[in-house]
Amino acid sequence: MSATFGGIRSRRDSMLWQALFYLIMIGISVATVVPFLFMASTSFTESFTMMTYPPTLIPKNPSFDNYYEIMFTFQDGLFGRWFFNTLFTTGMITVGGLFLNTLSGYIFAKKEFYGKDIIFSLILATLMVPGAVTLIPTFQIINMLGLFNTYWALIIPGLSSAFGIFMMRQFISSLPTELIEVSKIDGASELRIFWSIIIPLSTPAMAALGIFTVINTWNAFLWPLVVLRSNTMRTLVVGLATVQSEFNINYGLVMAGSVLTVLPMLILYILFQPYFVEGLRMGYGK
Amino acid sequence: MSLTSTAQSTPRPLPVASKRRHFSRKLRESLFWYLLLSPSLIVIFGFSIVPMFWSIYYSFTRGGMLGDHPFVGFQNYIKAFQHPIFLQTLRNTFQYAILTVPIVIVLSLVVAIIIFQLPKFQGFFRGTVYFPLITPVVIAANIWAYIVNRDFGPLNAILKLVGITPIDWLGNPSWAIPAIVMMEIWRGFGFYVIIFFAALQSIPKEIYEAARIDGALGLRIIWSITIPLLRSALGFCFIMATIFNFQLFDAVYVLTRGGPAWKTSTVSWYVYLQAFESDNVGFASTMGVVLLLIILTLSLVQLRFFRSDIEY
Repeated sequence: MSATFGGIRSRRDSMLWQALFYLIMIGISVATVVPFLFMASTSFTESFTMMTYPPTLIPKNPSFDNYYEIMFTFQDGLFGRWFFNTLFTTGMITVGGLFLNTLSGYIFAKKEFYGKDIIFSLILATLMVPGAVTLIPTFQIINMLGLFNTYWALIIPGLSSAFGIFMMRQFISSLPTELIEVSKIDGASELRIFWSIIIPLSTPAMAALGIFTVINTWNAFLWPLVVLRSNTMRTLVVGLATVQSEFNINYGLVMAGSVLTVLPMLILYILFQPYFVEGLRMGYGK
Repeated sequence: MSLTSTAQSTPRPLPVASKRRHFSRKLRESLFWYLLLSPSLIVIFGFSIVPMFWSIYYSFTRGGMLGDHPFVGFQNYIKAFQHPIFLQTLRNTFQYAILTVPIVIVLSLVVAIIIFQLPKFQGFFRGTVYFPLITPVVIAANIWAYIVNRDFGPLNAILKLVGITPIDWLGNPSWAIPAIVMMEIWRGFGFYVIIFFAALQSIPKEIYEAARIDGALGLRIIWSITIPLLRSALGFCFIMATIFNFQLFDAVYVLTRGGPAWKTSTVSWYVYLQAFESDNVGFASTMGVVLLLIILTLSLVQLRFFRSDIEY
């Protein structure tokens, strides 16, 4: 793969270029990651030593005090409740969404029915509709259904997405149709075909979609901010964003909470990194 | 499974007698598929498509979250385009996008090409540049608030080293937008790097071989072969970046709450304020619809511009 673009005149020149490229990339990687190191560092710093100048990456007297406080003593364990809320809603949306998006993706990929193209274009068109437009009526619908300030207000709208259906359709279109025909002749029912042929064959795409769903739901802000109003119903992200002004708590505490919020996603990201890249490529449809 | 191999290649014979029977069978099947699609369709129609039209209707009415919505015709639209704060947020939104989109695309294209050149650690660097995207904007923005803090932030500490007087990034009207733009670029560019990288991988190597035999050199190959072949990826990235950046909300909420003096407010932020704090649903919907029209127009123009007939 090296020197793919060729044309570099001598071997020595090309070595120099490679070295330069590595230097640039190391610089960019450092610039990308260093802000998060500041977050981690602040979370280990006692509040009264925090705002020091010049800024340091390694805290002078590192301690777990902030972690202890945010997890156990802050507002009677409110943080734990936020963590549960986020975990529960993310889990429900991911499992339910994977099933529904795969089912719908399969139908749009392999089945013929009246109105298919129109419906599919309408679904795709929703990708261009900004959240600011749908926010108010969606909020009112949730209110009318009596779901305001419940988990369902988060879960139900997240159960299916245009992006998810599109991605699964792209993937399932590439599976051989003969497989489905064969099992149909063998007498398998439609649902059986979906469950025991399509789902197993779609696992790579489902893994990618699953990670995207987890991360998007875990990190969502505007919608949970609007529909979950009581302190105990908040998600981690909304809690961390609103808590500062409400309780006037210190920065180190917020950073400890932020580290605990990002950590599960970081672990997931490291474990599933190959699916991630693959998934983005599938979503882009190439 | 064994005797089916012939069956699949012969088309199922249609009853010659009736097109009508075929029609009714397809109708029955359609109903079956709609039944299975219904949960997805209810969610997407109920929480995206219906709300969109509902919002368009609201944009011609006056009223709050509850109660009546009397029809007022185009009054809200006339008001919007004479409304100094809305016009300010509209200008700001364009400013964010105009600053962010080109920089983020060029930066990520260059980074993707550099990573693509590297003989080793491609995966590592891709993983690192994408990393900020797995963190919530809210948290990234919180960190950024510290980075650009006037008194103890690292950015000003660096500027001081090169002899520049510290800047009050988020408090100074002319620096607040650049500070937020920097954050958006830092957080978002990894996404486009991955897309460009995937597109680079899909270009057949023979094309480069041919160019090299013809005596073309490095930068020239990139300029006249790689970039044109990346046309559809470029189009995709431009459209996505435009859609994302015209909807800026989270960062504004955390970093500046729209201040100082509305200088960092975006349309999305002002819609949120009008709807949920001033209970002004009609006017909020109007501004939302204006944003929708802008995004739609820009997306369609870009789609047209980047339409590619290159197959490889």
